[in-house]
Amino acid sequence: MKFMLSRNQFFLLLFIVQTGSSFFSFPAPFVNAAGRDAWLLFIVSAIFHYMLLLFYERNYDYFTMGPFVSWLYKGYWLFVVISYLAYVDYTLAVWGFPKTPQYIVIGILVTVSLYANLSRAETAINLPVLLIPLILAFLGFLQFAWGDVIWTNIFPIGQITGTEWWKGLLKGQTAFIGIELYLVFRSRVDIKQNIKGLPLFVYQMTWFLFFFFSVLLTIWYFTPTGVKLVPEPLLFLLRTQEVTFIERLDLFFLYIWTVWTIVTVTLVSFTALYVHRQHAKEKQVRDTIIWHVLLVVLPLFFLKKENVDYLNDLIIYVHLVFAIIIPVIVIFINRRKRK
Amino acid sequence: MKKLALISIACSFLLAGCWDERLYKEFTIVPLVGYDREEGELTGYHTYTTVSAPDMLSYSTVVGKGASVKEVGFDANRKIGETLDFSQLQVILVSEEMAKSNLLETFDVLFREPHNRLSSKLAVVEGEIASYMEKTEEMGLEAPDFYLKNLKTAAAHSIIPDINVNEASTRINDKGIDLFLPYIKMSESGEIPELAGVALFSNKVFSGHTLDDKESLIVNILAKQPGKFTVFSYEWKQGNKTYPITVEIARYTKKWNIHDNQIDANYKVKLSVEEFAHNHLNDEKTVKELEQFLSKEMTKDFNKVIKKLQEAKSDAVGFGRTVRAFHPHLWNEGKWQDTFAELDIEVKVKAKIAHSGILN
Repeated sequence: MKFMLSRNQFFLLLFIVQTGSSFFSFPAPFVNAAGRDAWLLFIVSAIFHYMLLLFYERNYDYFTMGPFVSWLYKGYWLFVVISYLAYVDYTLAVWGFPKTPQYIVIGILVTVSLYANLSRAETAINLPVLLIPLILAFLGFLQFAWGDVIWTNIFPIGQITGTEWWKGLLKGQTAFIGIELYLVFRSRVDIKQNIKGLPLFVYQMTWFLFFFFSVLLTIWYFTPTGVKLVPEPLLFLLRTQEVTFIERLDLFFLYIWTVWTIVTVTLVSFTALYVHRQHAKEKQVRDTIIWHVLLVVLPLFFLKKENVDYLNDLIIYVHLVFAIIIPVIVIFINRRKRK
Repeated sequence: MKKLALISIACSFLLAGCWDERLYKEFTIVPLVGYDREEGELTGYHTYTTVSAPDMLSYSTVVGKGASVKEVGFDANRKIGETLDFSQLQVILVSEEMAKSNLLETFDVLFREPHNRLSSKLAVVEGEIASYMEKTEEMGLEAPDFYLKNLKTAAAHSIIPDINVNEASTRINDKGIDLFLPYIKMSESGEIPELAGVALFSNKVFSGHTLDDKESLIVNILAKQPGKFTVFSYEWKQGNKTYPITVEIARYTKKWNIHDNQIDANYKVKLSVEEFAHNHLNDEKTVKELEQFLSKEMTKDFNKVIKKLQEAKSDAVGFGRTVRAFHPHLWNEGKWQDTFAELDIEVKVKAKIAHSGILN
């Protein structure tokens, strides 16, 4: 599979995968774990995120996957997509489609990915562009809540305990998921386009402000008791808004988020199949279909709230292995080999 | 065959959502409900729409009983043989007895089911709820429209807070502020429900204390949550004659100084004179006298309201939010409602005439 990415395509791809499914699921567990100072903790998390990006940028050349590591990552991405699909399907069932058979909803979500991944690479790569106006509309409509926020909710500052720091830093990792795609696609970026320095910093700030805004809005809008009751605070916040042109603003954005997740599933599948094709060049169509059949079947086993919550907790630890531990080992070994 | 199967699968996706469609013909819309609780049993009065003639809607009321809001609804469904739908709910009335329990727990279903509306208005009524659910001749409008219109108008005139179900839940969950809801009484003739002021809550439940309409207007000002119009009327004595003066708050600022167990709440109010037959508002001396008079009267009234709030242990103004954020030593003294009741709170209002209308 041969393709080249422009700098913008690369960053957009990374941004969509990092925000995709986790954007709605991130604020509540994070704020519950870190308390009122969650916003402060997220700033610390963001510094760590930037350091990780700088580390990747410095060493991406050394991150080459052999068949074994490649299978590990394929397994990881399969797990990530299954978690996302189970979560989005459960959320859709609760908010919008309680009676629609869940395999139909998952089928729709996965079909788009199947089509894109059977087509040319450009189809999957350019899919995120579709989301730009939708994300802007989403951010715009969140501003309706501005009149209802309670600014003093973030005070008093600095009450966070050691346990909250630790729990918060772990939960904060949800916003990092997908960052390892940087290592996979960095070498595909047009070498004439600079990534190091300002462009990387701009990406970091975009990612940071996006999640930071969601954390702040959750703290400002909800009381600590309230945020414990609401697993998707941003969606709930949209539900409470009264506008003249639509009865349920939350449903409108639930669909936007669904599209967002579809694109994320497509991109993560694209990444897994791209890595797979580097070592298995034959029967690519068959493998693509098998991958997508797995994506339809496996989430069906995790559609209960209990299972969805379990996957959302587990994914953090698995992510740490694949975003930090394995890359560090692979880079270290390859650096030594090249010396 | 393969193609047919593929096409069938693809087409089945287009059916997504069909399972969840909600057609109006299958449901009966309920715009107004009233709840009462007696000996643990909940009684719900549901005003629902019926089509009495083509293009003509009328309203009927059905009573349901049960342990929860949902069960009460099911009971009512059985009685009329239709499925009541609460997604277009405009007004919820609750009896005083009902308001003495945690409303958030009672109305859990409104929050749990995503199609329920959270912008419905909420009000407490005096006495038995049944009499408030029927349309009377004096009302002029159907009961749901009557209540909605009255509540909206009163909120626009700052007489009651513009609080819906969602805002009420936020206040119930917030330890730093207490809920206050519109309070409705039946008129002396017993013909028409009247907005009497607000019902004060203390620590999630109705305290049994109420404020009249002028007092509730002051609470809205103190909390800096006025509606579109905020009007005060006083009588100004000049010599042997008394002149009514009506002023509207054009804009104002508040500043709270909190230290030890004391709160100094200072309000600078810019007023627009709407009615003042004495005139001479181009005379500096008259203006100054008037400003002093208004400052004194408003300060007196505002402090009276604070005392009433303290008696009810109801921090409807939300001093607790600021105390929690910036004065943890005071906040940690104990349960906020108890601390609030013991605080030395002094309000000072400084009135300034900013506009005199098109006359002097």
